[in-house]
Amino acid sequence: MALRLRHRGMAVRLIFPAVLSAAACSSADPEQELRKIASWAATAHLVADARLAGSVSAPYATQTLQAAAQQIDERSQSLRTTRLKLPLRNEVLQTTSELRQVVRAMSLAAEHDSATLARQRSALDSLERQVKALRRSMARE
Amino acid sequence: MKKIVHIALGVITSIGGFLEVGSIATAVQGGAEFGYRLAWAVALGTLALLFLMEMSGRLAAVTQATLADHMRKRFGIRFFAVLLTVVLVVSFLVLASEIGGVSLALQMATGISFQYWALPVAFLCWLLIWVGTFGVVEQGTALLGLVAVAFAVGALKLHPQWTALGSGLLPSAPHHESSRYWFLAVSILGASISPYLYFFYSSGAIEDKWDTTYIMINRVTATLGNCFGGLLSVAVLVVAAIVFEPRAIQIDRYEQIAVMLTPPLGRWGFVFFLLTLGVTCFGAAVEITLASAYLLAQGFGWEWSENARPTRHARFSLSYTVVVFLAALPMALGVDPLKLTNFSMVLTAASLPVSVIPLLALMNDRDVLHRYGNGWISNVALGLIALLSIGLLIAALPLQLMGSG
Repeated sequence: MALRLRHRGMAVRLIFPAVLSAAACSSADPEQELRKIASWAATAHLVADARLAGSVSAPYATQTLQAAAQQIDERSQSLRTTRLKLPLRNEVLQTTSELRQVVRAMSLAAEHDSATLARQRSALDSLERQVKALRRSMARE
Repeated sequence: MKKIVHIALGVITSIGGFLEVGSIATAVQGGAEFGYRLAWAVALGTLALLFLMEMSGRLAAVTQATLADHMRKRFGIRFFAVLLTVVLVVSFLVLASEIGGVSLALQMATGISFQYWALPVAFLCWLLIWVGTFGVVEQGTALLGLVAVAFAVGALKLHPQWTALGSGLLPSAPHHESSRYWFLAVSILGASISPYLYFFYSSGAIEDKWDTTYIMINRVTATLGNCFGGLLSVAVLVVAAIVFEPRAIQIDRYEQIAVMLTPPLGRWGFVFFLLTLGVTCFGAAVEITLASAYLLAQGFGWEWSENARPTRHARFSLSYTVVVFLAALPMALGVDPLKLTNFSMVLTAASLPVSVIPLLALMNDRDVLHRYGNGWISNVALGLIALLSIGLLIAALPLQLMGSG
């Protein structure tokens, strides 16, 4: 019974969102994916700033930064399947991978370690600039 | 003096009850992606709701019968069955989103996942309806909802560009991403003009025993309450436009939104955001639960009153009990709250013709409304709202497919 309920729950969890976004999400468009990654990086930046200023709670900052890392991870995965020309593709994947690691480190530091959070935020700054440059290169291609 | 108190309370109730999960989420998404350019959709939705609420309140005050009662009597049970089904389905999805909004506010405050909060939130809604009277339910939650004024303070502290905001109040074609722009416009309109709002308002008029002496109170309350409430929605859009748009943050999850008031208000901004989200969504969840039970009771001819003991109107009480706990299930099972909100707002927009077009006939029936029927201004407004609702019905599905991703 419990197993059946759990399966039903899983089915709802999987099917409902799929129905809601049915046909809504286009096939992976590299520009769109990179834009989403930049958006989540900027979110991480804003949340880290707020956390360092003591404006948001630790649980909130941790959860949001975890969500940011997860979103960047998912978008990076779908970037792997897009048609991007080789030098740019490697550069994009390398940058998004670093971005994911930095944001994940920020989520771990958000609770107690302000110094690490501040350091990682600076690293995030430079990665955000790289993503911007990559978006410009992608637009030119 | 009594009338002034009535009007003041009514206006405050409308302001405090205006914001909810849909209006917050859609205004934030609009502001984040298109700056001030979707302010017109908020203004148009507010204006349409103002007219619809005034008319449904006037109809109830003059005839001492609700909008649903009139629709059933005038258009027959077959039409009413369609209306009932459409409004209930849409309200159910919006209710699930509101429960999601409260649960997310609790998640962001405590770190405990929203899924675990959905059923306790539903229980609290049910408890308030079970033990409270209509006045407590409506005015209590709306008074607490005044915390949303923090958005107006935040918007002013961020010094918006008034000229750009003024231009945003005029509809304009987007420079980029047109399907996303129109999808958000439809979502904002759906969030503003939810059918449950005017069905609930008309039932509330009966609960409060309105008669023709309330016509002016109704007009002033609907006008001022919605105008001030609409200003709060615009304030949400303004804060999002200033905080998120320059950073190119696109809103995919509610967690991103919670930080929006911290640039202007610091720590208090975060606290006020969580309070606003939690309280306004809770108020809306209670209202939608009651609105659904009212509609079922009025449709099937059961006795109903929130002011009576629950055991006196058992079928009415059972209705809201079932509705609120069922609506908590999608959230308890982990459905994405923002996706559900966007989906339900677009569906709400698409459902409008079924309740708006019949209202045009009802409000011009002199046998029912006598000298209180619609004048030309109300008729022009309602005609335009009916046309708008047909446009939304036609546009909703393609935009859901093209612009929601």
